[in-house]
Amino acid sequence: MKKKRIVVICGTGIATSTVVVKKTEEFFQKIGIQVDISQGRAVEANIMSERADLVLTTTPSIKLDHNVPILNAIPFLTGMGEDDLKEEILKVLVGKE
Amino acid sequence: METDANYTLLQPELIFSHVTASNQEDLLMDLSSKLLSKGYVKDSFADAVIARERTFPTGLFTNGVPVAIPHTDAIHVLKPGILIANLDKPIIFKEMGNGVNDVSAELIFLLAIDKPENQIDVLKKVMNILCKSEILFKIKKAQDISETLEILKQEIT
Repeated sequence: MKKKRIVVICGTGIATSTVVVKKTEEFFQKIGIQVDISQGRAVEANIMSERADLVLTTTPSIKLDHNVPILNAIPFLTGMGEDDLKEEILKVLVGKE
Repeated sequence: METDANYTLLQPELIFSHVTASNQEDLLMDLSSKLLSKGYVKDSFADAVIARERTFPTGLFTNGVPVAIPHTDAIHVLKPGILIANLDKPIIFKEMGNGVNDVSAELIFLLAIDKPENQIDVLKKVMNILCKSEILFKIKKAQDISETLEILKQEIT
């Protein structure tokens, strides 16, 4: 399987996306899948995700000119709906292989 | 070193209980000025954090106590710290990632972060508290700063 690219976005690229990146890394380590994760600010979301397989975001205000799936990553911050989010991530990344 | 990071981010001087404010902007002004007077942030921090809250709101519903985690760009920060304010009355923040729903926040974690890669462990642990309803309730109920600090230390160290 080709290594999947994930872009994590938040408003400043400093607080919530850092935590989401860490949680995402831990999740993929646990299930033994290698992924490329990069982190950025909302204004960079479009350019950063051009060749990505998935965008995880804690802000709703991102618009992409391309067809990369976007998932709301807030469950990684609050723990509410975290299992559902993990399932969705796998569905997006593995489901299309 | 993680221990050092824990000590620099979580300071007794940054924990405030029985905080009151008339609205979100007053609250953020007040809390930012506390960070300013203790040398954690530049005087541009207050306006920046208020403006950012409008564009990228940080209210969060949790399984425990509703919270907000306001923060802004690193250029406004002089040294890292996390200010924790226990509010007497909830203050409305818009919900993160949605910007429509009102979150009646009762605990505020005001983040002054300059280099997230250096502070990721403690940042993650603090954010992990948001996933633990019983800890949030304990912090909310804590009567004073030392009690709050004790609860936080157990979670973070």
